[in-house]
Amino acid sequence: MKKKFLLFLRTLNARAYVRIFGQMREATWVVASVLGGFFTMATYIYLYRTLGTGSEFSGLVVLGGFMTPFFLNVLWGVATQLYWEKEMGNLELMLVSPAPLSAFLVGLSVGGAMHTMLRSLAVLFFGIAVFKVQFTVLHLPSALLVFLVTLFSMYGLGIVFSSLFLYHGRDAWRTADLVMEPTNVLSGSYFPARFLGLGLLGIAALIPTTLGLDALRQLLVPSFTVKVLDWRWELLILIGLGLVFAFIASWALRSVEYKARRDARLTLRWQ
Amino acid sequence: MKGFLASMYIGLQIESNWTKKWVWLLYLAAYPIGSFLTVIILYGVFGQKTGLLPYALYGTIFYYSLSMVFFDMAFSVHDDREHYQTLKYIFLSSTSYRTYLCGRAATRYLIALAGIFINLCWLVPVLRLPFHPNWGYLIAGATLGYLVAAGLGLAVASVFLLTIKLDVDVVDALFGGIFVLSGALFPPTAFPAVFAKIAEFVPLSPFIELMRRAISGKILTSFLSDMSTFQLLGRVALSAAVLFALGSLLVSFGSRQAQRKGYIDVTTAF
Repeated sequence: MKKKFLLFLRTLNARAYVRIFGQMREATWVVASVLGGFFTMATYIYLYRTLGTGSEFSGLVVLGGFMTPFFLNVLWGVATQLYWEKEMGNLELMLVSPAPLSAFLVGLSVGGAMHTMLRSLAVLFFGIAVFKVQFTVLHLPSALLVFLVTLFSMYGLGIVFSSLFLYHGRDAWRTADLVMEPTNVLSGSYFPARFLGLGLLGIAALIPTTLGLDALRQLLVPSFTVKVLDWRWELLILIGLGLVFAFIASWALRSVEYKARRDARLTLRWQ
Repeated sequence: MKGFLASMYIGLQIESNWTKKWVWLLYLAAYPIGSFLTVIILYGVFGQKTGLLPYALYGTIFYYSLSMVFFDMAFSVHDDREHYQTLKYIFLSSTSYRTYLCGRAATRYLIALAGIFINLCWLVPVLRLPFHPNWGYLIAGATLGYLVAAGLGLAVASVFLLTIKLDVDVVDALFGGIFVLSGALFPPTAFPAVFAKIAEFVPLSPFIELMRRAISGKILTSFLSDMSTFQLLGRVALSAAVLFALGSLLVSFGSRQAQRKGYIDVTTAF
């Protein structure tokens, strides 16, 4: 048992290391992703100015801009990773090694979250500096807790989807491409989720970013009033979602890996 | 021409052969929704009184059509070299690399336009958008718009040919900046004066405004309102000629240099 746990930790560490330091090797990657996030944020801030909404909307957009890189990392850096490993021919090597696939994915999530943090903080910094956005730091510890629980839940969802991507090929990749923008919109990245209405909100609440962002806005934006639920309830729901996703991920990974082995799809490339 | 058509066919296969035809048709119709969903929600909730919904919606969908061209061109270098590992065979074929890129992107453009057309069939009556199309301007604008986007795409593709580690995030950042400045989503009059002036000279701005006027039959805001529709068409034609020539030169140069440096078949697994 101890040996298995140590192997899990060593695999986690090895995959997280590559994700954190590998992504720092090219300065253009960091600069481009920060600039991309900043431009998206600027677009929505100027849009709100055109619409004549209050200045508190700039704060909402900056927080959305902070969380969006995590969402993109979950989708393209975790959910699709096993598909890319398969396409590059690494997956078969990973599977014949004694390292558990779940440790590999958790390592990927930890590493992904850490390297995305740098980019998100840069986007946040530029948002605050350029658009003169003000946040309250009175509830910073609670906000940090909400943020970490949101990440736990988001990356859990990413691991759930990674097992689907393991089995499916380009169709899953196309689906991710199709749902990326609507999901980002529905999660209320650039407007308060409450405006979605009850029906859409029910669906959007399954995306951890939706409630996570709403809770963060309650805690950090002083004039934010259009909340979905009290942030404490949202925190509880996020913990619940995280646990459910972790359970589904563990089950799905095992069963899809078995199914993919049986149907000989683990080495099937370019499909 | 034969090479261009063959490249268009390859583009169609890449875009569509991952699923059944009817699923792909649904995908084609659903794909553009992500581009304008935010516009509908934000202008629907906060901007009803501004009357800017048609401006933003038409602007966004026509920007989306061009974005498919330059993203496809930039991404196909990476995709063919790293993913499918076929770039070396494309270079060995008798079709020039520029023709191949243009053919593939043309398919993507036509698919995007088809998606837009399908969505306009319900958007126009449901949102009561002004719709008095001038087909002449629309067809001329769409053709010239393709050349504008292809010129930009070829320029970016040439950079990708000469680098092996550059990520497609660079394309996101570059065209994210152009999107903000082009006035696709809101009139650039919201910007500080300097940026508002720069917005008039962004190559995509006149195209988007031309297409807005061509489809709605109206001048929707004061942005570029001092120019007649014919003048806008002239400006788009000029941008198309300059950018396409520049992009062609750059991609020819990039292709030669990439072959010389051995970048055609390098895989990095990045």
